[in-house]
Amino acid sequence: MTPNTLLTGAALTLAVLAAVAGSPFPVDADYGSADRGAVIDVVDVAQWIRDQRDGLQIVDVRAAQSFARFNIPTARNIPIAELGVSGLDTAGVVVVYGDTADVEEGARAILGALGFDSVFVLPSGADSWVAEILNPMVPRDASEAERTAFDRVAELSRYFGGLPRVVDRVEFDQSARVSLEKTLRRGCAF
Amino acid sequence: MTAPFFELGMITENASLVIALGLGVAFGFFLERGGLGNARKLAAQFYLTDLAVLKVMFSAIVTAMLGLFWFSKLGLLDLELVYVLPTFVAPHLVGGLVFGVGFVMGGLCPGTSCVSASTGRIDGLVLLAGMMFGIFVFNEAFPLVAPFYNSTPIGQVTIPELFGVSHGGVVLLVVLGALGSFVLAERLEARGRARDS
Repeated sequence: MTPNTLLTGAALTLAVLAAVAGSPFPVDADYGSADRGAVIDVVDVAQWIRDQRDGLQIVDVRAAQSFARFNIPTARNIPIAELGVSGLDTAGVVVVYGDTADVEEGARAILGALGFDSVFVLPSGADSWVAEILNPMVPRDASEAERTAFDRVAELSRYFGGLPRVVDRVEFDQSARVSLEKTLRRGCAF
Repeated sequence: MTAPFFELGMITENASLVIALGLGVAFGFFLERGGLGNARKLAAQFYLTDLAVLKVMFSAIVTAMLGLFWFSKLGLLDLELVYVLPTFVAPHLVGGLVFGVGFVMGGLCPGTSCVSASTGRIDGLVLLAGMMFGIFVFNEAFPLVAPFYNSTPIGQVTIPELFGVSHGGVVLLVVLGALGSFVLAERLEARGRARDS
């Protein structure tokens, strides 16, 4: 039997077994967990921080300069390559955010592989926090339901030093950007 | 121990670069030993007289694919951490077309041009210089091509997800396709040799 025949036979055998196996993931992998990789809303994160939820760990995987310029209160700056040696509590709840969806998804997958059961991704966390927590806006002609939701966000915003506003048109305009700069220079109490 | 090692923090960035260097040297060595630093051998596949490139590439694909599947299945590799390049349909189609034209014209692809150049072949050196110049021109012109470069994204899609088939089913189909193409390649090469003799 030639080496080519052996290799052909081995490849065919492994391929047929793969077809029978179907999925390449281990049998006991819990890839269907609702908590694994769920996307979370920034308002919920703000509520968790304010309520000092047990085991909450906010992880910022952006570059150190970005973190130093602005970060979500209580967040830890942990580069993706150091997540394995970060000392995070695997039994706790992790909320991870970064610069791009690819980076955030990569961090989520790594944390899942490291045994973290409750990992939430906060898409574009820093930008979302600035826009929705520090500078929430509601139009003057908002409905009752929109006003009620805004009141909840406004309370959180004031708690974190933000500036909730009722405006004619909801957009992230220059005045809001000025407000952000003042906030950044002032810093947060956390 | 579970791979990928770098993503799981088991090796440092410096260590990963050293490993990459070693793997690159080994890759280039085996390409050269397989004759893929010779433009005539590479171009011959387009004339169906020497299909070594097809056999080498398909063998590599099958080996890597079976390795990824079974290492993941046995819990030695977290497949979710293996990066999948996002697909941009139109730019990838155009890029593939440009790559194909260049490959046929030059008789070398980017990797084998490095192999060819490293053995002192003039055509390899010229093609490598042309490739570097092309990279430079692309980067300088990037603001103009950026809209097209980022157009038609469909995300990180895989064949199992796209066609709703199991990973294992795709593995079997690819292996059968590879073995079938090897048989066909042998017959085409024999026919080409007979035609030339």
